[in-house]
Amino acid sequence: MSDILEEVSCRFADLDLNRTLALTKEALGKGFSAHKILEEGLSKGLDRVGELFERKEYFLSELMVASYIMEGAMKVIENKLKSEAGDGGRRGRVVFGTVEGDFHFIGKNIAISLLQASGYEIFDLGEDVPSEVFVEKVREVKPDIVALSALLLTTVSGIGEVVEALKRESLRDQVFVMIGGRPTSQEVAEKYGADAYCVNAMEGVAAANKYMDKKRGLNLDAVPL
Amino acid sequence: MLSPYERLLLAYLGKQPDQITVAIPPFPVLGVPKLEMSADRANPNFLRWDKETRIRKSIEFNVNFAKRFPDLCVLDGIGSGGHGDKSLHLAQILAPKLGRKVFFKESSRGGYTYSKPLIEDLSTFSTDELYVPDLSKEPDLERVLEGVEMRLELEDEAYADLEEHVANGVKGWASTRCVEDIIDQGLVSYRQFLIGMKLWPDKIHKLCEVTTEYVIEQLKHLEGAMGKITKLSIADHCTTFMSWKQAEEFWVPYVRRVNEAFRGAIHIYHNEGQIIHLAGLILKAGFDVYQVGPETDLVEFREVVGNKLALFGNIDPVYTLPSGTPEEVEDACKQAITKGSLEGGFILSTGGGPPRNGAPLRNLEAMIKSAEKYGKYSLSA
Repeated sequence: MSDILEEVSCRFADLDLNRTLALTKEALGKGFSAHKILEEGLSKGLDRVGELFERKEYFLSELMVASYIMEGAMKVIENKLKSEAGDGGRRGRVVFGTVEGDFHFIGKNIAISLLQASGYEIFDLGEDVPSEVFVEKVREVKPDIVALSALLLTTVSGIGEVVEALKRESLRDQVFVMIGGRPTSQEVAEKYGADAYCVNAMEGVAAANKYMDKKRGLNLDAVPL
Repeated sequence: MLSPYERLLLAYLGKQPDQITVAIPPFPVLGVPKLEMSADRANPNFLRWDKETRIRKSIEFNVNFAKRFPDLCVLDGIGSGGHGDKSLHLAQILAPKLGRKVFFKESSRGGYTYSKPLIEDLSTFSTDELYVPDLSKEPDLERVLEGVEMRLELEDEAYADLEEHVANGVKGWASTRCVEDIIDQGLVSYRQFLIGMKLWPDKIHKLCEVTTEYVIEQLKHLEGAMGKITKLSIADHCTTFMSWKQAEEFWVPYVRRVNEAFRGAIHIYHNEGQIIHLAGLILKAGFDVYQVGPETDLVEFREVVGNKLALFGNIDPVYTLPSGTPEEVEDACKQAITKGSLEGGFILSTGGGPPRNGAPLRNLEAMIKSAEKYGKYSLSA
């Protein structure tokens, strides 16, 4: 890795907003591709933030700062990224919502921030979202991923309702379904037919990236995660 | 033999009553007529009721709960904002004065959240504009306090036939938020608040200042209507997302200020999140009691705070109480009592709010029996 991208990564991990943005601009000026800056500088910094979070050296507030810095950096490289990629430079499209009957939003919004920061285009349906609204949005925007959040044991079954509704409309095979929230688990994912359970927002980004990497590699078989 | 309320008070003070008490806010109990459907937002009729009917039905439910379970201490407090009345929210009051707008999003169950807070972008907003409004000049204050007075009158009437200690359980209780009111009162989004602690700390301090003073003013007006606040519960969940350093800087000084403004009351901190890393700060913030979530290791917690802080809660209201077997409930209660109560100062309750959609009768009975079975043993030990 070049020195400047290493520096981007380090300053990002330190959550130094101004230095990260300045270095990102400098790297662009020096002719680095936006893709390389994203992959070798910013994403590596975000990974480091995730490690510090796992080690409980960083808390959710630091994760949110990281997503804010990433958003700022994405604005810096956005145009270049678009010119380099034919699909608008986005990693993928995600339809995100909290299932019907559940009004919690903090976890969902944290996951959305990190996914956006990682280059995903998000369609946030909000909270208390009926399954038919998910279906309509999937039909409208043709996302790669549908992400479902639930915080109450009593609303977890809403995950199954969304999956079933997608199946009824023959849309299920077109999207990767990820779930998260306190009462969810791998067992819940299997029970309701979701593709991945994400224990936290960072893992959500990792699962999305893994799926998109496979999809871009044109391996559209089921993705074991 | 002590009453459940006397046991509660002794435990709040860190002492050992004759038996651990079960203290709990009323919730639907499946299998008990009159108690299967709560009278709050979870009730499908809630939106059709007028204010007085809502208050009447809520009190009726609580009284039925207290009558059915005389071995419990029933808890119920009055919110500082007049039951979440949005017209008394800081953002709602400040917005027209600052030439701004706030937007509410109504939910299908009668609640609401801010879909757009007063400050959309803290990086460009000058917090110098913010100030604490004089609440006594707000026309909505009178209406909100009338609701509080109506509730107190109806409560006096409804609890008249019950033993005095039952009414004592619900009297003098006030509940509020403090730093988290920056978000709940509609000033900024959670995201801006969390980011702001790192990127714009001076602005966050200003928000904390204004909100804290406003919370104290709200509580003073509430105290004028309800009489002396003897139990003050502060539910600030925002600490779950903070490091020790952040909580020490952005939470402790403000919450302590609220606690100091109501000296003589028992100060209760509610947060079911995982904040074992902040255990020492709860004491520093001036709390006597901590309502602890189900995932917190009470032994680890006690190692930090000793018996200087009473613990309250720990039974899971999402899984164990509504969906577990009576044996699982008993085991959870036994664990909580033996780990949390060795030196007194423990109250068996739900860790967090009550089970939203209720719990089976057999599980609530298992909880009450566990307090009798293990509460006495543990204390005599």
